[in-house]
Amino acid sequence: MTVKVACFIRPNSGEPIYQQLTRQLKHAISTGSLKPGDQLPTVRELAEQLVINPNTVARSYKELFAEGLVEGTQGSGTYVNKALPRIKTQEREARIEPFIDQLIAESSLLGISKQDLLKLIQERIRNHEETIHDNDIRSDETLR
Amino acid sequence: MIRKLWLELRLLFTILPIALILFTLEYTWAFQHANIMYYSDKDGYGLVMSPVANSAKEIESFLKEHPQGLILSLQNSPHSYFLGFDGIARTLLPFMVVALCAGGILSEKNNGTASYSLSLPVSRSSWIWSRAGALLFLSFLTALISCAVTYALAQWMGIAHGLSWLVTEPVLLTLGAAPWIGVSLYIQSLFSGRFDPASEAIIPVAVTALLVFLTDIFLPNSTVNGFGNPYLLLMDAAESVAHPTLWKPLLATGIVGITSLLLAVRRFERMDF
Amino acid sequence: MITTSDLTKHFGKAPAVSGLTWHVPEGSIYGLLGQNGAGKSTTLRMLLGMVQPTSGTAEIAGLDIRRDSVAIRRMAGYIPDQKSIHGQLRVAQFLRFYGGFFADWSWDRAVRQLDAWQIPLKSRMKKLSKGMNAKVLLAAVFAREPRLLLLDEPTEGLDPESTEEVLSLLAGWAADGDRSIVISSHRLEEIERICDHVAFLQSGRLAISGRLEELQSSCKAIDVQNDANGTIPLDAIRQWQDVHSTVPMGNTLRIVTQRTPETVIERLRGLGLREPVIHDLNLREIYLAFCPRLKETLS
Repeated sequence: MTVKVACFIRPNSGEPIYQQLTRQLKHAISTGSLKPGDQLPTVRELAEQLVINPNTVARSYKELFAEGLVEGTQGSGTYVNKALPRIKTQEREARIEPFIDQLIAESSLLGISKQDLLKLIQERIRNHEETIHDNDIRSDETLR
Repeated sequence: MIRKLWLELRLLFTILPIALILFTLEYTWAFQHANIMYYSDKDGYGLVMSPVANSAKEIESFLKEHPQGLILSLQNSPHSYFLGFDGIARTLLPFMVVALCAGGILSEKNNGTASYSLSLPVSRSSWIWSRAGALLFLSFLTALISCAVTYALAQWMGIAHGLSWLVTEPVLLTLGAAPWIGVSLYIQSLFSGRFDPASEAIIPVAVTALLVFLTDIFLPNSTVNGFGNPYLLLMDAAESVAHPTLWKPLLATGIVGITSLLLAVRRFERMDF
Repeated sequence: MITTSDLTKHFGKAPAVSGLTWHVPEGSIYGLLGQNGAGKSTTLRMLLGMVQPTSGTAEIAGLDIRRDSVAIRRMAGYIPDQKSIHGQLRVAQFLRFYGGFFADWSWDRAVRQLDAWQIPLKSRMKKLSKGMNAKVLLAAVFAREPRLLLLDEPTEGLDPESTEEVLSLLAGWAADGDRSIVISSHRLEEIERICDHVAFLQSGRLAISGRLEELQSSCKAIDVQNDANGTIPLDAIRQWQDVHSTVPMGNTLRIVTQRTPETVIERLRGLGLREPVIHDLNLREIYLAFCPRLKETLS
C-alpha cells in the first residue's frame, strides 16, 4: 500500500517544481514522515494528487534513487531505502558546503550576527529532532 | 453517423409523409366532388379539376382549348385518380425533399458543431455523400408511404389498378425529386457560414424552394433535357414500349443531381472551420 | 510527435499563423500560450485538417496533415474552444454518436467518468452549463485511447474544483505510456503545473519555445543598482547577447535574460557595480516579458 505524501507545490514561485518536490520528499524521509520500507506513491498517483507533470515526479524519484534514498524498479514500486546511503565523509561535507555558504551569505545580507545564526541553527535542529520523535510516536500508535 | 443523421432528420421525416398523405386525402375528396377534364394533345397531357357547381362554363372553356379533351368522373376513368395523384405528388415532393434537406453539417458552421464533427475520423466528402444518401432514402420512403396510402384509398373506393404502380410510381417520383437533393446541398454550401445558425437552417431551403417553384413555372415540360420535369419524361418513357429517350431523363436527373453534389463536396472540402 | 515546418495560414490578407516551425516531443505535455487571436486555435485546427494551411507542412506521428488527415483524427483526441455544441442531443446520444467513430471507445468508461462528475446522461447538452459541456467532451475523449490530445482551453468555464479535477485527470493520463498532450490556454498557473514544454505565440509567430525547466533556468530577472561609482551603461548592456530586455526602475535597472544568465551576471560583476540580485521568474512573468502588448514594449 502506498503512503500518502503531504507535499505542497507552489507552481508560480519561480522555483522549479521538480526541485520543490525533491526537497520536500527528502525532508519527509529525513524527518521520518516517510519511513524506511514505506512505498512511495506511483508516478501516476502523485502526479494526479499534486496535479503536476508525471515526468516531474519521475525525475524527482530518479534523483532520490541516484542518491540512494529510495530503491525499486519500474513496475514493482518505489520504496524508501531501508538503510541510509553510505556516503564518504568527504563527499558528505562537499555536498553540504554550498548550502552552508548560501546560509552564511543570506544571513549576512540580513544583518544576522554569527552568534544569532548559530543559535538559530541549534533551534532548528531541536525542532527537526522533535518532528522525528513525533513521527516515531505516531507510527508506533498506528501499529498498536 | 447514421444515428445522428436519423436524429436530425426524423422530425421532418415524420411530418412530410403525413403532409403528403393529407394532400392525398384532400385530393381524393376533391376528385369525388369535381369534374375531371383530361387532355392529351400537342400541349402534352394534364388534368384539370373543377367543382361541379361551375361545370358548364369550365367545361366550355376547356373544350375550346382542348377540343380532343375528355370529361371524366371517377366512375368513368379509374386511371384519372392515379394520374391526378401523380400530378400533385410530382409537384409537391420536390418541395418536401428540399425541406428535408434543411440543416446538417453545411448549416452548422457558425454554431461550432461542424468544426467538432470535422475533428472526427471521417473524410469531409463522407459527410455530404452519406447525408445525400440518407435524404434520398427518406425521400423514397416518403413517396412510398404516400403511394401506399393512395393505393389503399383507391382500393377502398373500389378503383382497381395494377399493383406494379406501387413499385414504379415511388421510384419515378423519387427520381424526379432527387436532383433537388444535390442542388439543396450545393446551395447550402454557398451560404455556409454567412448567417447566424437559425437563418442558416432556413435561408438555403427558401432559396432552393424558390428555384423549384421557378423551374415548375418556366420549365414545366421536357424542354431542358428533362431537368424541368424529368418525371413527365420518365412517365412517358415508362409507358411507351420502345422509347429511346428513357435514358435522357434519367441522365438529366443524374447529371444535375450528381454534379451539384460533387460541387457541394468540392466547396465543403475547401472550407475552413 | 508533432513537427511543423513554416506552417502559415492567411485568412484573406490577415496572417493568422506565420512561418510556424515547431516541434512537440512524444510523451510531453506541451503548453501553447498566447493572447486571444495569437493563432493558437488556428494552429490546432490546421493540425486536425479543419483549416487548410496556406503554406508549409506538418506531420503528426509521421502522418502528413494534408494527406493523412483522417488517420490523424483517428489517433488524436480534440476538445474545441467552443464547448457548447450538439445542443439538441442528450448526453447519452452524444456519447454514442462520438463513440461510434472509434473502435477502442468504451461506453462503460465514459459513463463511469460522468457518474463521478455527477452529470446526468438524460440531460440535453444545451441544458448543461459550459463547464459541464466541457466535462462531457472530456469524458468522451477519455473513454478511448488517443495517442495525442489537442485541447483548446480545456478548463475554460470550469470552476476551480472542476479545473483541479480535469488537470488531475490529464496529469494521471499522461503518466501511462507514450501519450502526448498539447494544451492551448491563457491560464499560466495551470500550464506551469502540468506542462513540461511551453511555446508562446504572438501575432501568429512563435516568440519562444522549449522545455519549461530550461526556460525557467535561462530567463531570470537581474536587478542592478546605480551607485556613487558611476551609472549603468544602459546602451551597452542592451547590446549584450543573452539580454532579452531591460526595464529602468528608478535607481535600479532590471535585466531580463534569455539562454545563459550566468554570462550576463559575470559581465555585470565585471562592471564593478554592486552585487546584482537575481530573481527567478514564474511563467506569468516570463510570458509578460517575452510577449508584451505592442504598446507596452519594454526595451
